[in-house]
Amino acid sequence: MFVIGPKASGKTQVGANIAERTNMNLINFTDFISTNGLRGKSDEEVTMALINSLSKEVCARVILESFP
Amino acid sequence: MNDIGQSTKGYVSSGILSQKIKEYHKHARTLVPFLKGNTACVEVNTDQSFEKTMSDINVHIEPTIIHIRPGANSNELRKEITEQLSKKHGFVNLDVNALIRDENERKTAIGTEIHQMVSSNRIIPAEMIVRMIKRVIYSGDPYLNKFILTSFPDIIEQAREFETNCSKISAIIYSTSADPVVPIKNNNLSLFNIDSLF
Repeated sequence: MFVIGPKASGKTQVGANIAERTNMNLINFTDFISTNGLRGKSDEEVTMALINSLSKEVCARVILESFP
Repeated sequence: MNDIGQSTKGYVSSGILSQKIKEYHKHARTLVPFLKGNTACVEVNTDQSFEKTMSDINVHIEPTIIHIRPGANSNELRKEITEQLSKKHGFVNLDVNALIRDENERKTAIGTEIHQMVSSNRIIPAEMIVRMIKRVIYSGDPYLNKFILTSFPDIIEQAREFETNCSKISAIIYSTSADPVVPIKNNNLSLFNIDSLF
């Protein structure tokens, strides 16, 4: 599930609430970029890193905030 | 919606904020129509109360839950309704007592937790039952989105807990026969005859 919207529109709060209610993991795409040292990398590289990371999930139930 | 101030983690100055919003809208011009055309994209207005926002969102993500209340004297009718809904309409019957037994037998984390509650003669809290049901309801299978609840909720607190932390109950079926409708009310009864569970 993707949650997109302008800055300060409530994505994090809404995402956290959905994740809690539906047993999903909330991943903030911006945080994903920083924790994986992907800042400054191309869109393609970053997207591939995300796909690789998600493919390692045994049962992917993920809410992605700020992606695409 | 968010509490934003200079001391808040992730504070963004208004200049940068407006730049980011502008950038979002620039990309959204092509992205949003693409998502609407190719995915199950839903637009929700977040410029309203948080409760209203979540309620608008939940309509799209929650399954259909039918609660079949025990009737005054027609248990057979209840069974028949459950069977028809399962066979003809693909509903999954969630028998909470059976789920508890399964979790306990498989010695899952929640099963062990429940077992400990029962062993110490405590009533299984609604929160724990809802947590268990939630794992089934939101298992990730998009085709599993219609459920029947037959032995839960039994008291108003359980119904509230379920609707607050899991899903709205879409419909309640009473097998009334000649008797008046049986409402959900707080009658201070515990949900289970604990001895019968283990």
